[in-house]
Amino acid sequence: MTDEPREFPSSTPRPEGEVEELRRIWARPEGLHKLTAVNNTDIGLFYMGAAFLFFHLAGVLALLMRVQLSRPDNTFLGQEFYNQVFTVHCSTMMFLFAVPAVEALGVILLPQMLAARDLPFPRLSAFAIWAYVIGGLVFFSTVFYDLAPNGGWFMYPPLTLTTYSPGDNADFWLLGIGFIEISAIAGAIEIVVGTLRTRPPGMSLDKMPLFAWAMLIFAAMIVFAFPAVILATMLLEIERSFGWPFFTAARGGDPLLWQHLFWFFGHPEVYIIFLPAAALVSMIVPTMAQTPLVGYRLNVVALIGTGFFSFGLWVHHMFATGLPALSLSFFSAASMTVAIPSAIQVFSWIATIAAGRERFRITTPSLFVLGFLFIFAIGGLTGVMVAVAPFDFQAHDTYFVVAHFHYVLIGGMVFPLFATYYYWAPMVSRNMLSEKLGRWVFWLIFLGFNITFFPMHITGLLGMPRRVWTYPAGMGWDGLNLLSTVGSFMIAAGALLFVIDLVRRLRPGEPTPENPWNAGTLEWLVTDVYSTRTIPHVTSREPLWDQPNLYADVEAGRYYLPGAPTGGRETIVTSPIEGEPQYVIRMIGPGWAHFFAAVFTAACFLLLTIKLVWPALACFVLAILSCFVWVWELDREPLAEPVDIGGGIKLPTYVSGPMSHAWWAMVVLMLVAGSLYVTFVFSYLYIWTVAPQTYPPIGAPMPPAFEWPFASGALMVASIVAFKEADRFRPQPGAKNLLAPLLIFVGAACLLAGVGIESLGHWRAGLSATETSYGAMVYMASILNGELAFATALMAGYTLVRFILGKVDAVRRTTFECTALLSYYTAGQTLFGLALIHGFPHLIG
Amino acid sequence: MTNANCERRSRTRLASVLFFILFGPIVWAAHFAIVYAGHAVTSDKIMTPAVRAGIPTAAMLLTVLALLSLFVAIARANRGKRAREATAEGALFQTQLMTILALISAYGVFVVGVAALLVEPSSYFADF
Repeated sequence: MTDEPREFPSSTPRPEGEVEELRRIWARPEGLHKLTAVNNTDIGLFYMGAAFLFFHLAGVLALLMRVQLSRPDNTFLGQEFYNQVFTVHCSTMMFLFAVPAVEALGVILLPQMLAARDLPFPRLSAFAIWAYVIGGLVFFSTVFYDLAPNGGWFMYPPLTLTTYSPGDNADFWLLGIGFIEISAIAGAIEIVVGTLRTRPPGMSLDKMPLFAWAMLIFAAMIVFAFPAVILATMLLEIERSFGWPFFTAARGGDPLLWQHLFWFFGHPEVYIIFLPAAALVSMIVPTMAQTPLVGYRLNVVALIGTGFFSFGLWVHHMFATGLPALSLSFFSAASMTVAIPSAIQVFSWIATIAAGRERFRITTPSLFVLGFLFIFAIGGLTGVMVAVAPFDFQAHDTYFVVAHFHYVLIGGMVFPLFATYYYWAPMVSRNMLSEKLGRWVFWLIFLGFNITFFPMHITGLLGMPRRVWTYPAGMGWDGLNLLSTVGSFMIAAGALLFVIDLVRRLRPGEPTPENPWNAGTLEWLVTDVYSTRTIPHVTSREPLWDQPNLYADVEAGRYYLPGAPTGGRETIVTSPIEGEPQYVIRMIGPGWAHFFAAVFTAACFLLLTIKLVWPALACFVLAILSCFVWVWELDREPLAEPVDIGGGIKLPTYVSGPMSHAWWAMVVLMLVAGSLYVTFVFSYLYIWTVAPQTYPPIGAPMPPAFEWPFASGALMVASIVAFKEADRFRPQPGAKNLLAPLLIFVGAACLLAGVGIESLGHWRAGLSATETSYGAMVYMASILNGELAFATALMAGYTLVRFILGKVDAVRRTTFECTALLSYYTAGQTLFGLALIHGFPHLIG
Repeated sequence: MTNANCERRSRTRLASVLFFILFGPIVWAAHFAIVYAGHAVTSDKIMTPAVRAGIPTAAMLLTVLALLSLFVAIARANRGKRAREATAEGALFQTQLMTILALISAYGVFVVGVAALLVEPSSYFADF
């Protein structure tokens, strides 16, 4: 794609006014228009601020719990309120703080580390953030209205079925968390595509910063793990609302299905949180030791290995549910395997500290890193203990487990996060946080943490169960609980001191040097609203250490994209493996549409939760319309000529197919849909193993006669053919052709009709969704296929309008390609579903 | 190069690199899923004495097969065409990632295989 690659840094002088133009193009919106901002630094800071707010709110709930447990027979909190408090505390920490905080760091740091002007879908990031903020605030505020969920962050049925949880409390969790997960997936799509496609030229996979690797794996894990909990929340909400018995044993359901689905998400979730935090440590340690990380490749292996193996561990959360010895031994063995990559990282950090060119600098970030190593090692050791099934039987559901996971999660995530705040603060604000206060913050949190949670190992071993709202005197737990409460207030004092320091630094002061730690990675280049002045050519993992003139050359405009050749916001898209420049992506700037899309989507979920169906539907329509307005500007008219990106290199501004970032995003979205469907297939087969009596021919009518699936399948094939033909008949630019839009309409109609016929067939055969779990599963398959068919139909309608207006043609084809991809996937998934739903009963019958 | 060729090259290149690097974990996941699901379903549904006796043998065969495929892949990656081509730093990096991941996966396959061999089908912890 490059035309005569030239040597960089280029010696061509840059024209006057280039920087001013960049500033104008990337200018921040002011006043109320700040809500429309899409720039990664602005929205990333907002994202981080929101996550940090939720961290403190959940911390306040933790203090309430500790006050309640500080002495026996305490009545500070009532039992019901205590249940709500611990549920909201855990859910907020896991869903509203940990994952969003990591995504926020990705949004802030990734473009800087990759020297990109921005991530490829700025409005998608902004949408994800607004959806999260609105959904999160609504979810958290339920605690003030006695509407908060009270079934624990894992929401196990049957406790959360309407029999035992009749109010709306559980619905707030199910719809709220489901919604926030969707926001996390939106962020993950941005991160996958951004990491693979917006790296600077020369940054091949082996030169990627470890944080970028970790964020790539983090996002991939979200893509494969979160659909399991989305499916689980859908099943539980449908059972609560309509009585489909997925989890009711009397009608062939199984409460353990929830646990499988939840922990298939829940265990990788721990690593989803931990891996980026570990990578942050891998970025800080080399700087403090002033030497490259020892074992970079082994660290990449560790990140990939941990990400992969973490999907084979979920059953170790279910050891005490009466599973066969086979499951216990398999998952115990797999749990031991994941210890290897984790250990690689720990030894790598220790070796880097030891190999430093100079004495390891003990600064506030270093203190938090060392604290992390100490605490995480203890959490890891107790993790090995609970991975041994006989020990787990004894310690399960006691405070020992509470101590273990706080050591892992706070040690593994919160300490690196504080290290991050101190380390990267000067990059964000040109102001360092106070070293003196920082040390106080560290020692208060470190000592407070150990005083709070170490005694819990003992209270657990003494038999104190989790989640009890009070306990009688004389059990030997009184003093230890009081100690834990004292420690929790020390942590709170540390967190408060940190906030004070943060607020003090908001005032303008003496700016710190550009790279105060003398780090080697690109985020320490001089930046402005447009990111770096030019996008450098990278030749090593620590370019600032190995390319001595990089600072000056980047600032002087001697690398890629020194100006704005298209006159708007843009960045370079590179190839995913080697990092070769491929094209210039033209990005859209601030706007209201994505903001309203988030507001109306949140309102839709909220109104559904309180059973206001018609207003919810109205909000749904408004959300869809907002999305259409948002994406209308995305597929822009291609520029006739490639543009000069500096050094005489010219790149196109429009590509389609697998080279385009939009195609990639659609593929990642299809992976999400595929993961969701695979977990559904697992659920369908799992229910058969536990309740075969509900399957045909004994417990339910056999699937309808052959004509029904045949008709449905034929319509799916017809849809594929229609979209293929529409592709063939796309007109040349400027020409009109009504055949292509007509074929798109036919293709979408075939998808909808195919799914409808499939459901109708089962209904006509007499299958009920509420009588048995089998019936519920069969109709659930139709719901999943129907959702996709509906989404495809919406996209087809949008594409059709653009076709008619001449905004899709043989060259400008990204919109059509994305719609066609989704339609092929939907048809494929439905065909697979037909084979499963109609074939399996015959196989077992 | 035409746009279509470029697209095809881009797609196949990434898929092949991903498959190469992740070969070990993919074999581990396939082995884990097949042995566990096969073991669980046959234990639950088809528990004749012949099946009971056959489960450990089948698990052992699958484990040997998985380990063989891993070691052959490691050997090929380090001695074969790819290794000769791995003069560029990027390719060498991919080969090293693949090798170490495959070795860790081999350990994972081995411990799961041993568990499948040693544990009596359909037994519970209380039976021991």
